[in-house]
Amino acid sequence: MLNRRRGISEIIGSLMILLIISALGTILYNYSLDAMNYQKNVLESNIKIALDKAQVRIKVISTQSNYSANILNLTILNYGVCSVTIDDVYINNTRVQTYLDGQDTTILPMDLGHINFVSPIPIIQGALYDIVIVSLRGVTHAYRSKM
Amino acid sequence: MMFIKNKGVSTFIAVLLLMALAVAAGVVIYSYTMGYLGGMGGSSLPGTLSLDTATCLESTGTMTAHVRNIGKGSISFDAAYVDGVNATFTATPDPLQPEDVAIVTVTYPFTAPTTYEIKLVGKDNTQLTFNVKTK
Repeated sequence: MLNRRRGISEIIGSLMILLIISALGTILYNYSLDAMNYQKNVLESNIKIALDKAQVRIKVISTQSNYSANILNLTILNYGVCSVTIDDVYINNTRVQTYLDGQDTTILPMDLGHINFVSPIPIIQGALYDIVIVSLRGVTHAYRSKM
Repeated sequence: MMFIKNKGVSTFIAVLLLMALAVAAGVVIYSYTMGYLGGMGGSSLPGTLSLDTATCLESTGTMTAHVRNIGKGSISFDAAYVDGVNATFTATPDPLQPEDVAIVTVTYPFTAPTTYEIKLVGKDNTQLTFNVKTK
């Protein structure tokens, strides 16, 4: 009676299983590392943005109007501890499209900056306008001004 | 008299050899796959939404918001909710690149002078929640 044992040996079988498990473990590790890194980046980014926003303090201290040309000139005080770049201005929720001067100019701490632009809506003497200035970091300063 | 010759390595040495081989193979596979799969994860730089202004009108039934991306990655808008209810919306541009501003318009039967909670959600689960009073 012949007892033929076919198939691979136990050692080769064990090696193959170990290799498969190692490969699967490596792939899983790589993917989970990527996912965890992304979550870490999100958290770090949110904390950094919140810290940056907390340090920014801006205020419009003067508004000058040229009614005939529909041009406004804002004087902005940076009374925070870090520099500020004004990126956008909104008049009555309408975004300013044409800047004459001062956009993307950095205002140092405890310094004044000017921003000069064409109003997107007609400026009428004596009327009230909601003006919002927005920094590059997303910090907004809203105020109501009588022209 | 019979001699039984035990040839080959002992069980203990065999286990040690297997362990050493597995570790070595794992290191080799790890180094290969890290190089190969490393680029498959995509961008790991998140975007962050920030509200510039928002206005809501009963007459048109729309809420218009200027939304800024102050993060490092681009954001594709996925959904808008008004008081937790899914609402139709448009966003221009979409996707929103870093340091850029998008105009998001949400259509909903707004009634004045109610204040609504608006939530914008990106495809990467970036969220922005704000309140706006209807005029």
